[in-house]
Amino acid sequence: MTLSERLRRAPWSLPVLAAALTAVGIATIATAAEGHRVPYAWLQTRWAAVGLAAALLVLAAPYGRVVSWAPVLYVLGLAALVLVLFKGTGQSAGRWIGIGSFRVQPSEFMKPILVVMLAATLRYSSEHRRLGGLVKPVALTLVPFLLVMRQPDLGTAILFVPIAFALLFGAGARLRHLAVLATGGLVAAALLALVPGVLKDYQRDRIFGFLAQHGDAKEAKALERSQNHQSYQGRIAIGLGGVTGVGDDEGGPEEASRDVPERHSDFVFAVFAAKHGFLGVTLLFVLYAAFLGALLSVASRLREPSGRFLAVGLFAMFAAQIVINLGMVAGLLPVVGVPAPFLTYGGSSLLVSWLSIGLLLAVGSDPPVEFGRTTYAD
Amino acid sequence: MRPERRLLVLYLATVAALAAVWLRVGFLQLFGHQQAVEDARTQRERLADVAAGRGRIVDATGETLAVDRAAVRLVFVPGEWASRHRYRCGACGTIIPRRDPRWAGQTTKAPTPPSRCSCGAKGQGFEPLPVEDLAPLEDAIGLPAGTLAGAADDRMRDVLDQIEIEVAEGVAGRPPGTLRALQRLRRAERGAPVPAADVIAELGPELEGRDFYAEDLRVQRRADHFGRATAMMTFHTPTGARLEVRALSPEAERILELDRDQRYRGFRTETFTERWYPRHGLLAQCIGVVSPFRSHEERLAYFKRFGRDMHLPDVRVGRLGLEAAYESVLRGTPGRARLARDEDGLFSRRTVVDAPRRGGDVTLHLRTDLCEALHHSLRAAATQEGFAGEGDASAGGILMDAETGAVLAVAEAPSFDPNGRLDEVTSRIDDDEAVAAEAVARREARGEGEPPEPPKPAVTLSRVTRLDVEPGSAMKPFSALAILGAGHPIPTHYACAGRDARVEPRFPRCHPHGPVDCVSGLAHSCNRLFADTASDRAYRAVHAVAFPTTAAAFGFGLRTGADVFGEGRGAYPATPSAPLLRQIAIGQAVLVTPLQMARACAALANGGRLPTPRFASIVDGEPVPFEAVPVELGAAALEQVRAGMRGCVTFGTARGVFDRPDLAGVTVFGKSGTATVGARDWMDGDSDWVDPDGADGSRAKGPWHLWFVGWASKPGARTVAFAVVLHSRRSGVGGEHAAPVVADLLAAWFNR
Ligand SMILES: [Zn+2]
Repeated sequence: MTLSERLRRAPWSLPVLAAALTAVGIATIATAAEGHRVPYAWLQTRWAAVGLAAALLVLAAPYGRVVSWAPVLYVLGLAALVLVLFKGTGQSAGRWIGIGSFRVQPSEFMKPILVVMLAATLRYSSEHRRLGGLVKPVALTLVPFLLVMRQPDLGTAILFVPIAFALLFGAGARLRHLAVLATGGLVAAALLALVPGVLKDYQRDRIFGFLAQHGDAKEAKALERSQNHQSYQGRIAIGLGGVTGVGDDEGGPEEASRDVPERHSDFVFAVFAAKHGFLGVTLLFVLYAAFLGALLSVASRLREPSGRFLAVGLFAMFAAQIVINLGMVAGLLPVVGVPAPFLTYGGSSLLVSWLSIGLLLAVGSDPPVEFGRTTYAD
Repeated sequence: MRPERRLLVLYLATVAALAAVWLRVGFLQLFGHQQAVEDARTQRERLADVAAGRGRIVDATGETLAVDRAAVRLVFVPGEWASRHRYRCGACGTIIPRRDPRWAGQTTKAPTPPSRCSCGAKGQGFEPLPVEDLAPLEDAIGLPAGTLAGAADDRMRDVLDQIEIEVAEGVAGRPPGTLRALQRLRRAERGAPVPAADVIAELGPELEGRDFYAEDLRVQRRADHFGRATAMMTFHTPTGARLEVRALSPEAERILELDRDQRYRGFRTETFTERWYPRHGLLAQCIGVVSPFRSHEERLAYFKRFGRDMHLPDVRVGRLGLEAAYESVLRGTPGRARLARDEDGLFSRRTVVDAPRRGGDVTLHLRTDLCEALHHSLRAAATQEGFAGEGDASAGGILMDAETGAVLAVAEAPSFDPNGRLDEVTSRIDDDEAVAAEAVARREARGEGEPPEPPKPAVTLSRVTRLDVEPGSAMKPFSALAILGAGHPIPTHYACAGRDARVEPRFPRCHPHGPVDCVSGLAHSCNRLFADTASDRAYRAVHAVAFPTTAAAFGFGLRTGADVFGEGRGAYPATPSAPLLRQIAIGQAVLVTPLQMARACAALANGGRLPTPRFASIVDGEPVPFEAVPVELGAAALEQVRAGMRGCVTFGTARGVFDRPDLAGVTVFGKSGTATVGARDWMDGDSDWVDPDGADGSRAKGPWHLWFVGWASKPGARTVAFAVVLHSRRSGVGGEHAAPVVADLLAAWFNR
């Protein structure tokens, strides 16, 4: 199939929606970084260009080959995670690796790699329909999960869980097996949280600060202010947005979100909500829902399992990040470092998102391997 | 479940989760909007307290003893100094301050014109305004040209260093691993603070995403520090001005004038009130001092007592004397001001919401002229040649209305000036309090029967109301009352063994005098008469009860309840043994304050009412009522004691002292006392002979306390009780050295 044919077949609604979200993100980052020394909006624009180019590159490659490289990618990804653990600059555990003048976050890249690896594992197998068959995919998930937890980057690590579950669910694993798995995981997590040293203090503080939020009003407020300052400031900025956003006479969105820490990155949604109000928020949610719908429609059009699983996994990756980030900024979930896809400032995250779009374009544009569907078609 | 169905379930679950978040955001924006506006406002605004003026303390004639007066501070505001370069918009005329790049962490050297104005004008139309010339300001204060700018730049560097330290600490507290790195850096630098830039450089990639946080923190810290004005120079009222308490020094007037339109960005004049004591050291211990909080604990304790209070540097707390005793009246009620951030992010917009209420005034019974006379006379007596003990010459005296207990005059030596050098005075108070507390603790640990140890004289502890010392023979009138009250007749023809220890080896010895009875025993101050009678075998058990009971009835060993801060209690044994009875009968092994002594003498003068001493006559417009408790006194006993005390002046130990023309018509009743410290020296009977009360004291070894107590009356005048004590003498006797001080005081009182 020629490249032009592929380009014609590609599900173009996806990159269009993604581009719209990226533009919203850059505009919001510009607001957040107003008066700031570092030109974050410009940096993000550059990363978006890099991401777009990368997406086109991936589109050019047949995704089947990407899937067949899965073990190589997986091992490379794990190696990078291990490298980051031992070769952290400043000798402390880091999340970044320097490649030339660039700094990348291996854990971000591990997300799509895990999707590819799981898709490759599950595609021609029905092992995962037995409880014992879940061991292999769970193990494949657990290894990067633990490595990323070690960094420690609770936010990214936690994303591996919905990715694995969604993939197993989409691939037809039995619900009761998944329930057993979920229960086991929860018990293990509870044990880990109670064993000292597993969670860093600041992670524990954030989680318990979140849990304590609904206690005695006065005490809870004090605790919230000290331990969960970020979440509190985010909610104030959101609330200030009102229906149509903060007016210039009230100081504008820059002023409204001035006290929100990380307002250009993890909490950029707070700035967006302050800037555009509930109407803008509703539009953004519609945009996200449309994007996720378009993504899943790629999966539903496919019969070829590896492509289908890829789409399901990437859907889970995006959906989990969106829900967790927005839920965290809105104060529904504890504050963990999960970016909002396309909105949050961050090169690695944006690049990975656009790479994933490229992969989805490739999946969507590949000639359907329809297993004799032509033969049995009516 | 079919694969399509599974995808649908996944999608619906996601949409449901998104919908939940959407609803939550909607709730926050639609229903939580007002709350958010409110919360944001409270973050942007601060409520601060406005200090209330402190009430005045004035004497009986209306002379001011403590008052608030205006002073001026030149303060430095880093935020203004950082943006002293300003441009005027050519279109709308708005003046736009620009940050000096040196203080904004940027590398460019010169400030750049603004790119746009809020009126919409862009580009070239910005006219730079000249930077203020600080020369007039420097000239007004008498500083060489350029000094202020240099000092300001120095302060800026300090402030920026501080900000960097706080940012580094703040950043290090957040992401994992950074704290360890910071600690390592610290160790390498031997504990010196590390600039945030170094930490960030060291931590490198870890701070991606965190550098924004660091920048946030830097902006916030900058706003905090830049808005914080620090005093550079203070200009007081001209010294020596006694009642022109509102006048400012010429420099202060001049810089106020210069700063009227706030021309000198970076420098502000700030008027504030300081406490001023026009009489300086006179009455320093009695009036007390005020100073700001020195510790968080102190602040908390103060809040607990008076409720939430202010955070301004002007807060002044009474530390000593009447300033402390009437703190609740004098302090006033602080007001509230709302501080809002200005365009520089500084909390500089100030609106008074609640006006402060000035504290109430306290009017005293004291007359400053009397106090001054007493002070001079005390100082003269305390520093007489050959009398200086170790350390400062120390003395105290008090004059009290014998009917009401109103304190008419108080004086002490040495003294200190409560104006200025507040820190020094305040820490001195702390030291002295610690010394006094230690002395009391030691005293309590010693137990009964052993002579109690009086506290070391310390400059801030009042010699009149706080320091309790042995009264010596000044206690004998009350011993006589105890003995007579117990039904024990005092011998009418007692032959004293004098100083001869072979005839009577027991404590104490006496000075040579003829046979005495109760009256002449008091007048001549015979030690053996009172010691023998008190420890008489037949009455010993009765006296063991009668002595403490009588002492308690006159308030010895108890606080008087006077309106003073930190009153001394004195000490009196509760169940004295026979040897102890011999001591307390002559005023050893007991401790009293002059305040207690004057009050007890007032009861003798008025015939049986023990008044509560009162310093204040009117507090916040309300007259302070007098109080007294009755003392049961046998008429015959009182008559004998009065005769003895009169005899002391006419033919006894103080004979001739009051025969002065300026005391014509004044009838003085007195009792001298010369007490050893800790009842040592003459107890064993073998060492140098000490005449505690007689004329032959020159061979003795001190230190001891010289007392003269009693009362004086004159037809048509108020009867006054008095007590004077000279501390820590090497030699001297009460009748000879303390009594003349009383004579001077009485002359001043009756001829005022
Ligand atoms: Zn005698």
